[in-house]
Amino acid sequence: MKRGLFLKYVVLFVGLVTGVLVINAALDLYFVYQDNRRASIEVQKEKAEAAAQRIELFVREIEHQIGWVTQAQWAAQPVEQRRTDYRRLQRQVPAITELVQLDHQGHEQLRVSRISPDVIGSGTDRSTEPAFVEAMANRVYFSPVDFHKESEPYLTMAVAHKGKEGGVTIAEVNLKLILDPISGIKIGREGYAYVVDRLGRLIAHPDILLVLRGTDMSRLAQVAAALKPQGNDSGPVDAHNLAGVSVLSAHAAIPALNWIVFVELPTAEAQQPVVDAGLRALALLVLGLLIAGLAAALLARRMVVPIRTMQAGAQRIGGGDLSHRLSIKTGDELESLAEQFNRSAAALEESYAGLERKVEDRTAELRETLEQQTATAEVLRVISQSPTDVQPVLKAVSAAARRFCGADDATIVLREGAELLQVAHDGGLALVDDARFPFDRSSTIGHATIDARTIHIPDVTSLDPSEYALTQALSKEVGVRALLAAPMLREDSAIGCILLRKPEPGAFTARQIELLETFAAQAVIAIENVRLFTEIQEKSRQLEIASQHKSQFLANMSHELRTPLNAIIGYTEMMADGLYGDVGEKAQGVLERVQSNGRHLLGLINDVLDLSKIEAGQLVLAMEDYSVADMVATVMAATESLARAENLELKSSVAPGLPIGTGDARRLAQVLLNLVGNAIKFTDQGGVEIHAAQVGDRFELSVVDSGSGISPADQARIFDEFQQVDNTSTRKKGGTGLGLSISRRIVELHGGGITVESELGKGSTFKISIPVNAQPLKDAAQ
Amino acid sequence: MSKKILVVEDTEDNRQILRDLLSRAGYDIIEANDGAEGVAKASEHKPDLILMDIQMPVMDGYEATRLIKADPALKAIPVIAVTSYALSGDEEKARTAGCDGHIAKPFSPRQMLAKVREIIG
Repeated sequence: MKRGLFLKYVVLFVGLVTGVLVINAALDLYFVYQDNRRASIEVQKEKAEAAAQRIELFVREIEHQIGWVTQAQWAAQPVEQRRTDYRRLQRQVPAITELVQLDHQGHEQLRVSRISPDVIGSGTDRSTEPAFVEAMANRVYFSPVDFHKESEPYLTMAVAHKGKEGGVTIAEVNLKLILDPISGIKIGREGYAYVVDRLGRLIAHPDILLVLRGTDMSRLAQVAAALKPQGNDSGPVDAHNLAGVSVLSAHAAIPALNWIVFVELPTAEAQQPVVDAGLRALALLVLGLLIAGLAAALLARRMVVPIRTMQAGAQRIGGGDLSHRLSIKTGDELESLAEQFNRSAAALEESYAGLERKVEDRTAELRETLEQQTATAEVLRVISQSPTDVQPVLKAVSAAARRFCGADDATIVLREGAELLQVAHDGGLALVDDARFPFDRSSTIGHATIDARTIHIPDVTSLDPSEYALTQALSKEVGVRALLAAPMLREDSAIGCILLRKPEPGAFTARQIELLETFAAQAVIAIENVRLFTEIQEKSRQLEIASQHKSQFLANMSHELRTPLNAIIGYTEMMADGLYGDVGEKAQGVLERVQSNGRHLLGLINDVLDLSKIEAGQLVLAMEDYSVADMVATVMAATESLARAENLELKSSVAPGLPIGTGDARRLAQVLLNLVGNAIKFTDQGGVEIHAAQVGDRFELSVVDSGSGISPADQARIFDEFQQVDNTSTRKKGGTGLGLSISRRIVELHGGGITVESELGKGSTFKISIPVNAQPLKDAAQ
Repeated sequence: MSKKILVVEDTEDNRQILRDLLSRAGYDIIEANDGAEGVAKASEHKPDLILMDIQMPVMDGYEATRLIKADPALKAIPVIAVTSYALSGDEEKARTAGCDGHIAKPFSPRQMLAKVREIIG
């Protein structure tokens, strides 16, 4: 098994647990974050609103006190009264450091201060000051915050008096008491509050230096947003302070003064609970992972170990150890799977065993068949190697029959007249060499041969005493119990048989019987082969002798015919020449006739011999160089006188520059001579022409006559033996009818051809075409 | 002194034709009936020319020619084969046996005489 399964289980399990934990933690953190943020903002907002309310109340209280002191007609009160009222006011509101009364024209009437002597009726004109102008117009005026003595914030307040020509009271208010607590507001560890006026200038801040510098806070996004006239209440919650630290910011407006109180808490601190929650979640996650990993490992182990066991077992079984069984005791599906597996293996083991047995049986069968085939092939080989001698074959057959047919002894007997002759023997059950047995049914071999059928005797002792008397006697003698005799069949009768013998009783199998019959058939084939071979050899020897006789006969014929002819021709010529005394005129004529007939006879003999030689394939071309022009000249010379005698014109035309040819010049001349002779013979008037030219790599020789012509039917026949145009012409013109046939054969032996073109009454043209350089054809005659 | 011609020929008629023809022409004729006799007569008479028939009993013309040509004393004598059948290779066989010329039977006495004169004058 690959390592995968264990890892897969663990990863899956751990992944699942991790997934759940992570999703849970993420959701948790999200809600914690949201809640925390909302809570923080709310707290900040509350603080800011509380601070704003305090300041509002503070200034409204002062305004109210001033309004209450300076009731209608208060300006008309004696100065002492007014001074007292102012002092009482200062007592009630300790933040007021100075009070100034202006009349309705803006002239100072009274000044009561904590730090300087009171001034009464100075009449200083302050009618252009914003405090007076604003108060007159709006009843109340608040100045921007001013810092006295470099540290304390002061506010100038002006309140218009009630009543006609009421004037204005201007109060210097020390804001320290009201702003310090605000600067001191603490939220968490790092949270703080500050106040800006309507221009964004810093009024109160834990860092007093920033306040004293009059820092413009409107560059902070949250301040700028809150300062917008119609800016909604919320403004950005997430912001940055002057130090660039990310903060949660909440604010509240002071409508009377147009101030804004900001409460800010660094985000890091505000979100501390979220971070803590995250850490807790992480710790939980790690713990969860550990537990999940451990659990997964344990679980996977429980799953994987039996699977591994199963795998190893399957591998052993697959590897051939079918007796192996799986042992898994998990008590679950795995165990039943293993049991199933074991059952399969058992079934497989059993079928394997069966299969092996079958394979063994089949292999044995095949081996046996192969051996038998080898044996029969061996016999066939011996047959093919021993075409003339049957004995080795019979020896091989008997040996093979004994060995492959399960016998101890094999004997082959052949019928010879009224006896059966033992011709081959193989085995230990001795018989006399060349033993002879009567050809009758007293023995198995006799019976098998006579009836041409296989005789099978599984046990001799169970035979009736009257049956196979000879066999029973012999068997008893040499200790034979079982016999099998197969006839050797030629056509339907047996020429002998093969006998198998065993010293112990027992039937031969059908297969053995069949095989023995095959061997018997092979033995017959061998015997027949030898017989046919001998016959053929004898025939071919006879043919050879006949052929020799034929050649000898030809030679003898030639000699025997020519010898007397020689005497006839010789004597007549010498007589005609007067060698034996004068010859009378009449006798001279007779001598010439004798000579002429003698020569004709010679021509006939020559033609017949030529044709015989060609037929016998004995005509061999004597190849030599020749000149076509010379050949034509020779033929012209030989036929000139004949043509003249017939009153015919003989002409020849030979193309100039013909090459020297190769061929049997004498035979080719013979052909041309034959054609010209024929032409002269069959032409009554006109002439004969010989043409010679070269066409490609062939010579073309034609003989043209102005004779009677040859009909198309005759044209097809004239090149055959003993054919002339008609028999009357033969008688009239003489000739054997063999000339054209011989000519055709000679030309064909040169690799050429001979054709005729003719029309009755318009003469004939015989054309020979032969290669310039002829290669003699073998056996062209056949 | 006239020239001697040995005629080796088994047929009486042919011997007579040659005898009549050649003695009339002034040659001395010695005759032999077969090849063996021919070889003996050749040794004995040392003729100027031998006309050798090929097909003869006892010893044929080829064998006789071979023996004559094998004898240093005789091998200079021209031998003309007189063949009576022209199966292929006859001429070749005659030449191989050592014949100096060849004339086919049946011959014309005129041609024979011309051939003899051509060789020994």
